[in-house]
Parts: sequence; C-alpha cells; structure tokens
Amino acid sequence: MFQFTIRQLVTVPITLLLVVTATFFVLRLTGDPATLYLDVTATPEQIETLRRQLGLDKTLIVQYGWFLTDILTLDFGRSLQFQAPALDIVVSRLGATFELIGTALVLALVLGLIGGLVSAIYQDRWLDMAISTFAVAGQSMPSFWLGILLVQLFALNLGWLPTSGTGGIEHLILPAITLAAFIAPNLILITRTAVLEASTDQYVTTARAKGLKNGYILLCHVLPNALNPIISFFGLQMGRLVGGSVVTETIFAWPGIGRLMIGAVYQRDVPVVVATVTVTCLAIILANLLADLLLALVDPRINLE
Amino acid sequence: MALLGLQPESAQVEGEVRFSGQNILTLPGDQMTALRGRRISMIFQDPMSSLNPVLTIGQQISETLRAHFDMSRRDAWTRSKHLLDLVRVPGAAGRLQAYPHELSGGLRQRVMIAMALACEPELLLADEPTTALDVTVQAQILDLLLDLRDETNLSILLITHDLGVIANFADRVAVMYCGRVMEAASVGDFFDAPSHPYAEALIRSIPGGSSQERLEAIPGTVPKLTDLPRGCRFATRCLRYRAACSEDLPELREISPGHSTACFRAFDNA
Repeated sequence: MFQFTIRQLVTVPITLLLVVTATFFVLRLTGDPATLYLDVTATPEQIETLRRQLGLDKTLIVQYGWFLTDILTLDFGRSLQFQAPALDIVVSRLGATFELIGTALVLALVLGLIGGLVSAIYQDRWLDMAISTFAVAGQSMPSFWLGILLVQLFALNLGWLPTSGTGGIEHLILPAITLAAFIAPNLILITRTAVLEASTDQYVTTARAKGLKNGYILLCHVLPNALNPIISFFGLQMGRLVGGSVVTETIFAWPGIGRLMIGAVYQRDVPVVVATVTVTCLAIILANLLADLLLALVDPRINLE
Repeated sequence: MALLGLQPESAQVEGEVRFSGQNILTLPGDQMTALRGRRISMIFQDPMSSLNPVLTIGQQISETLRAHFDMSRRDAWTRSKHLLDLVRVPGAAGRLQAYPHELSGGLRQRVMIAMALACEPELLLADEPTTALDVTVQAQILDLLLDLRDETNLSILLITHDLGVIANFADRVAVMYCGRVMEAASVGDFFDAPSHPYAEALIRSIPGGSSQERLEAIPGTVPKLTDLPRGCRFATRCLRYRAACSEDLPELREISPGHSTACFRAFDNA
C-alpha cells in the first residue's frame, strides 16, 4: 500500500506537466498576450516594447522553457485582473470551492447510497420505480437549469433562501443541491445495480443459511461487496464535479475556483487560467489516488503492490 | 435450498419438510432464521464462492456464533479457533485473520464446515460438498465429515450424484428423480436389491472394471420440470413401463421393513 502510494505520487508531476504544457500551447495559439495587457489605443511601438519586456519576441520553445521554470518555482505570474500573484488568488478561492464540493459530495453520497439501497431492497416494487424514475429524470436534467429552478422556487417565490452569494449555511444549501444533482442520480442507479448484483452471489445464500438476519446481511455482506463499482465511479466523477462547480458557482455567484476560472478565461487572464487548471488537475489526480487506496481498503483481493 | 427456505422468491415449493416432527416449511420467517445455522446448517457445492471475499475467516465464523448465542466478540473468536482445529485446519490461529482467497479449495470447504458446525446443529445438509474439489481432497473432506458425525451429535444429509461416495458414506439412501423420492432404503438394500427401475438403472450405469465393456446409460432425457408427465415421472424412460404408469402417480410404499419404493411394478409379485 505504501509503495503503491509512492509510485502513484511519482506519476503526479508527469500528469501535471502534460496538462500545463497543453494549457500553455492552447493559450498561445489563440492570441497574442501583449495585446491583452494594453488597451485598444496602444500604438504598435508600445505593443512591441511590451512584447520585448515579456519575452514574447523569443521563440515559443524558449518561452515554454521560461514558463516551466516559473511554474517549478510556483510562480504562475501576476494576475491581470487582480494585480496580484495568480497562485495566491487561486489559493484564496480554494476554501469556498472545497466547502461547496465537500457539502455536495456528502449530500450526493448520502442520497445515492440510501436511494440505491432502498431501491434495491424494494426491487420492482413501487418505491423502487419511484426512486429509479426520479434518478433517471435527474440524470437527464441539465443542472444549470435545476439551479435556476431552485432559485426561482426557494429564493424568489418562497423567499426561504438567498438567491446567491456567501454567508451562513443558508447560502450553501441551493448551490450544494445543484452540484450534488450532477452525480447523485448516477450514484443511485449504480448503487442499486451493484447491490442487486452482489445479493445474487453465493456467499449471500451462505449467510442466510447461517441464520443471519436480512438487514445484517445487507449491510455487512452485500454492501461491502457492492462498494467497488461505487468507489470507482466516484474517482471517475471528480472531473465532472469540478466542471459542475464552474456552472454552479456561476449561477450562484459563489466565490470559488470555478467562477474564478471562467472569469479568467473571459478576461484572458492567462496566469490565473494556468494556475486554476493546475490546481484543479492536482485535486482530481489526488482524488483518484484516494479512490484507488479506498478500493484496496474495502477489497482485500486488490493487491496494490 | 428449499429445505431451509433459501430458494428464490419465484420458486414453487410443494410437500412438507418434517424436522423433529414439525413441518418447517410453514414456520414464520423469524423462526426459520433462528433455525438456520442453529439446528440445521448447510454446506454448499462450491467453496470458492460460498465465502464472503471481503470478510476474514474469523469474522465469518464468529458472526454465526454471535447470531445465535449471546457471546462476546472475544469468546466467539476463541471458539472460532477451536472450530478450525476441529475441522483440522493447520495453523488455525493464523487462519482466522486470512481472507478466503488466501486459502485452497479444500481449506475453504473445511472453513465452511467449521462455520456450519459452529452452533452444534442436529442436522447438516451437505449439497454436493466435494463436487468442486479434486479427488484426494474429496476423500479428506468426506473422512472429516464422517469423523465429525461420530465425534459430535450430528446427522448428515448428503446430496450427491456419486454412487461411490454413497456406498462409502451413507447409512440410508433416498433416490430422487424430478423432485420426488423414487426409492428409500438402507445403503445395503439399495445396492443389493434395488427395487425401482430408476435405481436399478443407476446402479447398472456404474462403470465396470473391464475396459472392453460398453458403459450402460439410461435412455432418454429428464422431462422439463415445467412440463412433467401426469403419471410416474420416470415412465418415459422406464424399461418396465406399462400403460398404468402414465395414468397415476405411484406413491412411496414400503416393500420390506425400512425399504420403500414408488413403483407399481415393484408390487407385481406381491
């Protein structure tokens, strides 16, 4: 387990390098940064001077080399919008995003596991039909639309919750539900299938023959065996959750990384774009590593060495 | 499976299962649960898939104990170790921490037996317990079951296709065909004087010693369980068939003390 963790951690910089490289070239291909730093009235001479100052007159490969050196020293450059080091800005927004994603994850997990379990227990009866239909509907509903509907109902019509922004727990409820809706429906369906599949296994018959009670069998025999696909799903869905947080944070004016990223893209704030992409990429990699470790923890047959 | 009510919900079960004079098929769910593993326990064909892969051997044995007895974790664990010793698992103390995939097939079947015997049941249902094991291990497991029968106060109901196993193992034999008992006899009577044509055919189909000899087979195939004949279920394949066999279902009747058969022909001479 320890060796596996170390080996996986070694691959993290490689993945990050690929992502950062792709980001660098895509951003350079889509326009000259110098024109963005100056306003439209700038003369060609002024632009040329700035290009020399920023090193943009050198070849792309040389620029790429500088870029990598800077990143290795955690220097992502200064944000154009905020006039502050890009990484500092990203780090200052991390807390809000973690709060949102963390709440949404817990919500999705609780809803998904309970929904899936109940659905499996009442297989093919009306409760199962109701939950499954709800899950399929939830899966098909665009989450930004759900977010807008939630605001309309709970904030505008009923006036129970604020429309957007941050503050107390009441500000967190609607965004967290919207973000949870990105993965909860899938999770319900996956849990249901995994539980139903595991409950046909022979060891479940053994457990019943031993005189164990049904509830105990479900929680201690079936569920641990059903966790494998559920955890794998979580690892894979981290990317979607980050994508979802961009949408959700935009709808609810949540001051997290997602909204920062989208704003930076619109403003062509290159340093901030690179910094957010790097940080989210790192988070996704670590989440996947965590999922692998969890898998080994719940299934002794998985040998990570 | 049906004996312990473990069949899937869609299954149809007819008749009755009498245990200590009581029909256990009509027991309410919680009483059946209390009976399973306590007074009647069961081992299965495939020890590879019968144990839960994510729980240790110790957890699986002690949960059976704790389901039926008011027992602390520590006591259940100690008792589990004794049970592994009882079924002759070498290095029992260390094996408690092992997961099923770390054990061989023979050892896993021993663990299944230990689990089944945990609560000192009166009856052990062994559903082809050696079919999935190789021949040497098969003999070891059967010897173990015989020893345990003698050491503890245990009856064993062995389900098997292997007439050799029956000859070595059984006291009494009941031959079943399409869900009905065709013949029930002591093991001596069964092999010496089989009275049902199906039992006779089974014994004839045991390969002889000579390599020149053709193997005897029973002609025809087993009827579909969804489309059983009205009369005797073996009628279509029977060498002693007569018209009456397709009319009525022969009941199991005694032809001599302790020897019953479900065939009209067996009573022809009487």
